[in-house]
Amino acid sequence: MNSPTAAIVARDVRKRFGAVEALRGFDLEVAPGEIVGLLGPNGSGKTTFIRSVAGLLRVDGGVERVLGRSPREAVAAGLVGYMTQTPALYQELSVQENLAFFAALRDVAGTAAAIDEALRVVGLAERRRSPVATLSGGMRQRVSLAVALLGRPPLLLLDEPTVGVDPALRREFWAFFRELAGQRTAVLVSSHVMDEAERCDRLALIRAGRVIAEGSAARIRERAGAADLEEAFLRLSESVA
Amino acid sequence: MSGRRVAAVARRIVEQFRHDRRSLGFLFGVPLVILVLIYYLFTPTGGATTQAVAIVNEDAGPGGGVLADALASAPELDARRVSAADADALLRDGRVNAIITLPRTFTQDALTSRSLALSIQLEGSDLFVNANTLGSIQRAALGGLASALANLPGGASGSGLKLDVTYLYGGPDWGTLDYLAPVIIPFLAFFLIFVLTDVSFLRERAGGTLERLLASPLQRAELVLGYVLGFLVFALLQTVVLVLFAIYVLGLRSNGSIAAVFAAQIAMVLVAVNLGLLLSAFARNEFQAVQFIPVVLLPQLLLSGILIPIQTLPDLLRPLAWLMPLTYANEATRAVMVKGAPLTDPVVFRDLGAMVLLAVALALLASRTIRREVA
Ligand SMILES: Nc1ncnc2c1ncn2[C@@H]1O[C@H](COP(=O)(O)OP(=O)(O)O)[C@@H](O)[C@H]1O
Ligand SMILES: [Mg+2]
Repeated sequence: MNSPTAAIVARDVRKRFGAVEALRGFDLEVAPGEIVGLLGPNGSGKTTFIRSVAGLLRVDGGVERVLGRSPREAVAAGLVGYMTQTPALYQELSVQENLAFFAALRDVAGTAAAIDEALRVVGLAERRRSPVATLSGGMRQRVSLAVALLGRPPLLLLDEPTVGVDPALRREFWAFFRELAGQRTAVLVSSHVMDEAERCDRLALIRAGRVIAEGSAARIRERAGAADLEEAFLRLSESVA
Repeated sequence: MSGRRVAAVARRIVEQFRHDRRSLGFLFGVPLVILVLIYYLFTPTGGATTQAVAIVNEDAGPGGGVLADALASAPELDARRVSAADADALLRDGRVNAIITLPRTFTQDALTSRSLALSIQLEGSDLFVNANTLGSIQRAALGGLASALANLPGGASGSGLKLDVTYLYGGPDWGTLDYLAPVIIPFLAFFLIFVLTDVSFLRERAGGTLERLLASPLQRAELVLGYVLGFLVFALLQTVVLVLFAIYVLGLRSNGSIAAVFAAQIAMVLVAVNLGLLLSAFARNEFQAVQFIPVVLLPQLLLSGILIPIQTLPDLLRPLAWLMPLTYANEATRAVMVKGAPLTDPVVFRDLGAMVLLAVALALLASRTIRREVA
């Protein structure tokens, strides 16, 4: 299990914010080429876990390795693409300028080509000169995803990437995630939308800062004896409560 | 008009403050601190209400000595009697504000023409110091004159006293604005650059982009340095415009090299940017970041020698002046523009060095503060 090539290894990770225990013994492993979904209700700790993998939190306990390094080292080496839950972009800058800035920070090789590719994937090639402030919410979400994709980092952290994205484009996103996974990119994607979860290789059901079940969507449904994931989640929640 | 809706808005504001303790602290703490500062500024508590002067008595007769004694014991003056050469050195070092010379013919003039003249040489670089010093000398001399004259053989009674005023720096042809430009230009630049940085960095956090920067290979020190460089570009342009406009359009005087003025501005902008970053990193919300603006600017306006000469600050407050970045900028810019000092002048060099050191310290603190909020 403890292979050094794992994209993410998290063991018994704990994080407390004042009175709130956001992560209480979080275990997860993600292999290269794997798409793992974090599925859980709002406030269950998905964002907190992703932030810890992105080196943004000092956890209170447990071990985290990202591509064989500490989270901060992996991030510093430009190995991690992180799409924040709310689009964090410079409003006055154009789409292109935002991408160029973040590409420079990550030392992305072949910047112009990398930007073109990212824009193509999110379907915003024609809006590249528009200031972000003039884009719709869904478009900003796509630019934010494009930032994470720049240079195809070996680990992608996507925090609810498809919120506000229409179904057709959502399909394209997933097709692209799949393509990346085929090239050994590890993708950790959070969602509270159950149908999206079906597309992941593996799911981790999160409840109150802990992984309560893990496996493919089919296996989780089967284990819970439920017809769909939503029901499976409810049953599994009750059984651990 | 619904009273309930109005009350709801009012209640919400009160509640927001209740949840933001630090803003609440500022709301009461800041005006109190400023008020205490002003109280000490304008309550005489033994600060330099006396003016340091050097007295050179060259009078061949006895009258000069008597007047010199009288001046030396006048409460308005802190006088020392020295040779002409020593007096000149003291004036150039800024240790006295003026030299009072009793001319060779002082007694003789008193006895014959009854027209008395003291020559006063003012250091001259600060408008307010000039006025204070001249006023004190006038009062002290008038008080001492009667006794000086009464002691003369024949009991002369001088009809009038003339002060021949000359200036080491500046002069009567320097307008008020000529004197104020060297403190107004740094203040304007400091104010604008500080506020700009403070607010920009605030937006970085509020817009979520800070989170994204921190989840990238960008190091905190690189972020701080990048900010400094970015703002330096605008600060330089601003300085060029300000200085050239002041000198060539408004026709204000400058005796020194414009390059030295720019150097002082650059050093000061380094401080302004890093201070803006530090306080913005320290603030938790827009409210707090905005409240730092008066906290930083008001003490500087009062304590950095802009309106109140540092030497006249109360003893209690004078050390604080040297904690104000603008004190160094003002002193250096004044030295250059009024005194014509070169960059290599020890005072200018020391002031620039102090600002650069301060900027480095603030930059280090700022990068530490940014780090802490992620933990
Ligand atoms: N910076 C923070 N300060 C205080 N509490 C936080 C912070 N971040 C998250 N929390 C709390 O931790 C819990 C988990 O939040 P989060 O990870 O954002 O959940 P999710 O992404 O699954 O919706 C919530 O109760 C949330 O309020
Ligand atoms: Mg979340």
